[in-house]
Amino acid sequence: MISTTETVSLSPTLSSPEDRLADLFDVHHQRLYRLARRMCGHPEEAHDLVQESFLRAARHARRLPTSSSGAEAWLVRTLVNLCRDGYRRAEVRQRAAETVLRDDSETPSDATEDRLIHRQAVRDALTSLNPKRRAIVVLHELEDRPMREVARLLGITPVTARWHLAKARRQLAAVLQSSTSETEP
Amino acid sequence: MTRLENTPRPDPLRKQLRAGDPLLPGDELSSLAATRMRNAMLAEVRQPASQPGWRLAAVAAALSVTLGSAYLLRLNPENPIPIDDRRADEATGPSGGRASTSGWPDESNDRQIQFTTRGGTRVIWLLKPKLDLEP
Repeated sequence: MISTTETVSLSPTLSSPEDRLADLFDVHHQRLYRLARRMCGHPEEAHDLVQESFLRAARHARRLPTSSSGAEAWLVRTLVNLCRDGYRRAEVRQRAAETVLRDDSETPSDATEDRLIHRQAVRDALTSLNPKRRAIVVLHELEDRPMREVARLLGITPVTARWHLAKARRQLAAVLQSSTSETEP
Repeated sequence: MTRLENTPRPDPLRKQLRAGDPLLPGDELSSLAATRMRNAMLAEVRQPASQPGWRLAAVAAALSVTLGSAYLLRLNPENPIPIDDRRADEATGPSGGRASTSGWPDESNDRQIQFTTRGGTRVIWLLKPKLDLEP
């Protein structure tokens, strides 16, 4: 499990949009990359999603929330929306196919193979969720963020976030269950 | 606070998800990629903010030219174009009176001017020198 709980603070004295954005990037880029990586499962697409999120932040620099938490929430929502809009969907499908082939060609040991299969199953299960639910699962279950913070980041109420989490968990359990039963002899 | 947030509980699904976490240890954005991304973002924000203003000015200029032309055409939509200048002084009015373009040769006759607009409408002006407006 990779920790994502580093302290976040933007310098309050930054004046120009350029300085603010630079600081915002320095504070959040790794965190956003981890979220993107878990949301889409592929490094290249995660890279593109993070870059596009920050480019959009640059284009709307004057409209960005001034607080660090507000700006972070803006970035997270932008990234989730980019995911939702099927950003570069065709290329992602292509990469997914390539990744599976690459994984298959590695001739791993049994333990490694089990891990790879399980990781693929989790990735598939996460992909089966719609991006908003996927974001809730990633932020809460994998990044350990409290539900209230998840709700704030996604701009929804905690009740709604919990409802989506419950639905997502049921869906994930069903998908993982079926993939486990498929791989068992 | 809810049970979900506070209480650590055995959660097989969460355990499963974490075991198959798509993010591997050490899987981070490389410093080179981060630097490039940061530079791209800063280049984007440095782009002159006047670009939308410039576009707006171009649209406004085009619009004003169009409207100006339309206004001028409206002022002068159909420069009276005599059907035939050469015959203008021979034109005959509906009443049979003779028309002429050279002054008022005969104040007893009606004067008539005919012309056609660009749209094809034929206009006949009948000028009566001795027009008495009824009270």
